[in-house]
Amino acid sequence: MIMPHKKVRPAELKAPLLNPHKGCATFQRFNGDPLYPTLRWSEEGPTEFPARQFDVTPGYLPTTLSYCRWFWPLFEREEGKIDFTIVEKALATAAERGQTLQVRLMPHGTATQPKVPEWYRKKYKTVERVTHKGYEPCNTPVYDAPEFVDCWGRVITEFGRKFDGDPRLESVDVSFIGPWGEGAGECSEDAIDRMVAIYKAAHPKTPLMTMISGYKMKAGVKAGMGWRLDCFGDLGIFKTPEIPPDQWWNHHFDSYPQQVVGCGAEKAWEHAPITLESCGVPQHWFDGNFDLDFIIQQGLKFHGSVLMPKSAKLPEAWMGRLSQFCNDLGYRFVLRQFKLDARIKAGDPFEWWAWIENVGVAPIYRPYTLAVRATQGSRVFYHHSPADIRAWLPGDACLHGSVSLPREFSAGSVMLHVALVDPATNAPKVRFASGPVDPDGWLPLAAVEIEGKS
Amino acid sequence: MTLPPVRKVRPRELKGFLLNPHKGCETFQHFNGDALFVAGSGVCHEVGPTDFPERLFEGVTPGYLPSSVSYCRWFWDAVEPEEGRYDFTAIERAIETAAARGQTLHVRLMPHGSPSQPPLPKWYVAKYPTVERERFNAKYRMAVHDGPEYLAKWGGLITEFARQFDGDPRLECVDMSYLGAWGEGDGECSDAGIDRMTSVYRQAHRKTPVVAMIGGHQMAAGLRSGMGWRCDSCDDLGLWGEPAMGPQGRWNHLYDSYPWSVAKAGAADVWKTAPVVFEPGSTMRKGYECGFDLDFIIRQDLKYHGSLISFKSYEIPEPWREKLLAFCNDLGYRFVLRQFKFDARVKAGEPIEWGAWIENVGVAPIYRQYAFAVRVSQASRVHVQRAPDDVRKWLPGDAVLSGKVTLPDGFRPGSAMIHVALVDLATGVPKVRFASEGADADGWCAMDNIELY
Repeated sequence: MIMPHKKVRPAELKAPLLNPHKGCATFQRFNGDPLYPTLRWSEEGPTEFPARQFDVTPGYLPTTLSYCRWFWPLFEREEGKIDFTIVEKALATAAERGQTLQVRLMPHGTATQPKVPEWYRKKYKTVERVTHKGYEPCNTPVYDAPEFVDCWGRVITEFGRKFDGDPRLESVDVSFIGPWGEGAGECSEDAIDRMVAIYKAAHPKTPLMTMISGYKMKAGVKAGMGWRLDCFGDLGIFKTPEIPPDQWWNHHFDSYPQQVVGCGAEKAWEHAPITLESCGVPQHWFDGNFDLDFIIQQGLKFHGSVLMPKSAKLPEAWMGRLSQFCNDLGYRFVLRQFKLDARIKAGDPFEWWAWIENVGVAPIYRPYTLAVRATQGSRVFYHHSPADIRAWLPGDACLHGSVSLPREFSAGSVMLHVALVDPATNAPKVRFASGPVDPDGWLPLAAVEIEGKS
Repeated sequence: MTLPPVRKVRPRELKGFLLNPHKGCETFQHFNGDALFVAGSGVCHEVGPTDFPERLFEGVTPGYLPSSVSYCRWFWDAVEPEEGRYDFTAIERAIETAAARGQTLHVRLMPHGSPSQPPLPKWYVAKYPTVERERFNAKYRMAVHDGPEYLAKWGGLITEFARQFDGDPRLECVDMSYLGAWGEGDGECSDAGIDRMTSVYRQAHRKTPVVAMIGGHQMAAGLRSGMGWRCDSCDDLGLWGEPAMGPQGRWNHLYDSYPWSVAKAGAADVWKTAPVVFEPGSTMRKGYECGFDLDFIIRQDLKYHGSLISFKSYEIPEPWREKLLAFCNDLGYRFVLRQFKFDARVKAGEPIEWGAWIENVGVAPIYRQYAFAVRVSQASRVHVQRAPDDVRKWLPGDAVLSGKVTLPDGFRPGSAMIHVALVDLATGVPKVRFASEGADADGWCAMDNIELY
């Protein structure tokens, strides 16, 4: 029986798959670097980039992302002299290690950490204030003062000018209020709007992440940004000894659902990423006897793409579940079926149909391209589908295309492969959770027969 | 250790099976506790019930699953035996029987069956235009689907049905079904004719959800008018495909039809506002004997955000029963009351402020309006206050509610108890169970005491 079409239904891969722009992130470090020796981490971003020590660092998970953040004095020691050499080195290191880089620039830290640059403190008004319960007062700028908006805005604009759209750059945090830019400070809605507009104008291409809660989240999400939270896993980190433990405030019960709903951020994940930074480090969750399954379910419910557990050793007993969680974050594309014309006349196009299912919890946020590669002897032809893969939300993507092979292809078999590629290089970048895949990253389909010269 | 000014209650999540209304497994042409169909018995399962025998089994019928919805469908000649003389007695009795068995009723009216099943009503064939078609190696007559006569007569039936039943709380949903055998779409009709008939269904059913059949313009037209959708081969991994293709290449609905139909009709988000309903292509035993991948089937149907599935009231293969029970549990909504907090002490005459976080851990919303209610009781005094929130908007994810309860005169200083529930709008009775521990026998979830002073 001669069938007009061929169908390929590759096997679904169920195992963890290391793919870009999703999963676990290293912190202030890169793939293969040692972890922090204790459960304490540093807020000060890397300034040195030693050689790689490990393949996958023992006690951590494989990653395709590095997350680094630096304080203002490091890259603007003198007013107007902005030097992003460190960021450039970090981008290069991340790329060498198979990672993209999430970046945060921070105006200042707490009392014991870097302050706003000296030149700023000398010239502009700053105030001493307690930003967090139990912390020493720290010196902060007036966040909605025009000079702060101007000076910090200049940093962000310059950063965007240099790096926006760099394929090595994963995302940029919007971070300008309070220690680490995480929001513990006062700022008028007007000033937040101005700053959000500055970030947005500076980064037309690279995704921006607004910090969860309050007007800054609302404004960021409204401007099309993703969001991040920095106390993922908190089921009781902040103890209140004077009341029973079951009444303690925690982020998962008392803050995050209310903030996401209150800020209208429920659908932000459909077009911009969600990043989850661990509260403390997962060992703290483990030591607190927190319910890991619940934490994971919450992270997936928020449609997260990235978990950043701060490059601290992960609890050994939880490695399996955390690995699975990182696998479940973000997108996961299964090529369910590829159908193609079995035979064509020379010169005629062949048609194809593909059903791809995103079995993950989020889309991908970078515009790779579905490509069909046709090969016959030494002849190779790449066909790019015009489909925007960023629109592949969890669920089905159904594609249909038509390929006209160049005249050099002659009667006989033409082998077809498919992959999600970088459109500039045709190099496969995103692996389907389907297989088997050839070592070069292309998934073999079937041969189309060219019947003879037209 | 002191008590904080705001009391928080975080009930433990229930993970097990929960029988809730408007979701999960449907009985078919039968009701909870009835006997099942027996394959090869010669009984045509497409003919809707006209007799309603006493319940045979006290609990769940052996070989089947717990159910809160019955799905029945009747042919035209049974409900309009003479032109213009409508007889919905069987439907009325089915609705009553369903209610008595703890079910709502999902209804389909069908113009005719396949060649061996009930045909179009004789009065229609005698008087109005029909066409002869060959299906299943036999000839039979179909209405001219886009003719004005069919629109008037079938449309008249639908309008009359809805006049009697639309909005009846015992009615779950209605299939839009007017093309070909069983109304499942196997017949010709112009797009304009489909639009006209869709409009009839829509105009007639202002309150009860209507579900359109998957595929083609009938689906697109239905969705445009706010309907849900259904498919009738939700398990098909090769029931009808060309055997020569082998199981890996054989045409089947899950690979070759449904993803494409949903994408083409723009139906991917319909589940957010209207139900998605499944029926297997044959019996589950057939799929089991074919060696179908049940995990894959379940995953696909959950991916479509389905709420209901009819297993056709045939015995479910024992090795599949547990997975299918879990599947029915996973269909539709599932509300976990994560946290309820309220003022721990309130002065007489002042309102009690409360806040609730509810997470829908299911795959769809609920499509019927219930009310989140807070009940305060003190001895014989009871006060219930309903939140104005529309529970139908609780998509998978979080719902965050807050409100104030002002107690009427009569409550005295001392302790009062707080309960919450999702209650029926008309009766105030708890109807939808939270997947959270703490529900009393009457369905109200106990929170904690509040101190009135």
